[in-house]
Amino acid sequence: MSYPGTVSKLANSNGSTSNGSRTIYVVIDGKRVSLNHASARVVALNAHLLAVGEPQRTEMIAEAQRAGINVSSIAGVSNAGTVA
Amino acid sequence: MSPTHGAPFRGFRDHEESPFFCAAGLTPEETWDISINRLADILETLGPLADAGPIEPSPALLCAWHREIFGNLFPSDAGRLRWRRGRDPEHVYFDAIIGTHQTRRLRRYRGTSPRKLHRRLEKICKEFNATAAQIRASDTAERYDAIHAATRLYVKVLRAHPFVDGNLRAGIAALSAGLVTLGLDIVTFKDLERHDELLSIAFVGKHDPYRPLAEHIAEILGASETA
Repeated sequence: MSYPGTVSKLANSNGSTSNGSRTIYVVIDGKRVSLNHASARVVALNAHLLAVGEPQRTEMIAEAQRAGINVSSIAGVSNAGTVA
Repeated sequence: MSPTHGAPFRGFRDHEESPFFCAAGLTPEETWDISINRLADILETLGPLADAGPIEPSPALLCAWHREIFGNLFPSDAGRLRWRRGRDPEHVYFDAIIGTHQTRRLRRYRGTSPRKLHRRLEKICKEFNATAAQIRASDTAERYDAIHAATRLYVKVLRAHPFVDGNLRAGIAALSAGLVTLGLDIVTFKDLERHDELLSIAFVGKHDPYRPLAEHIAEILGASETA
């Protein structure tokens, strides 16, 4: 399993919901999830980072960024990496 | 601890001293990832739930959200309000930043006493549900009123700190439910530090202490709508 859940590609949108609207899927860590779930994951990851607090949070984000992970796209965090 | 430049990324994980740092048989990173997915599941269901009728937070619903996020990981603590550990009340302490940038320091808070916790949560939820009903019934209520009500719910749940751990994550479920049930979208706090500062003001401030955080949430919602 890789972390923290990078959206690797858009999968075919071939699902449908009960009201007839289409569901778009994305692939995260090799698993196909709905775009809704992927969006919810961003908020959930953001909440987890809020919960961790400082200084661990900033250190962890900076470490992720140095590893080439786009934290902004996966956690919605714009002020990341200030420690780096 | 300062970060080591060029260190390989070990993955996101909870704070080592956190009771929910690592579930049995899992790594801290796996623990973190599973709880993210469970919280995401909750957030995903809020829209359809709100379409079916008002979401009315209650102590039972808060416990259900907490159980959903952490139940598979920490079955003995997930979904239960703090009560007693042995003979002693199960108190919990948490820190918040106070002061300006120049005078910044941490202030330690104690969550609501376990004995009073259920009643306190009931009051918080009833207050939100009554305000939400008024907003829904009103022709003149403004969008900010809805944001303010959801913000107040969020801050008060966090201040009560009902669980041994995972309070902010359960709090985000409450905030999101509060926003969605009043026709708004859920929010991501891009500026983590700003969130912490405004939350601290909401904890200690006088004269509508929720306003700065509510205004920040309004800005986030406004920006995401125009994006």
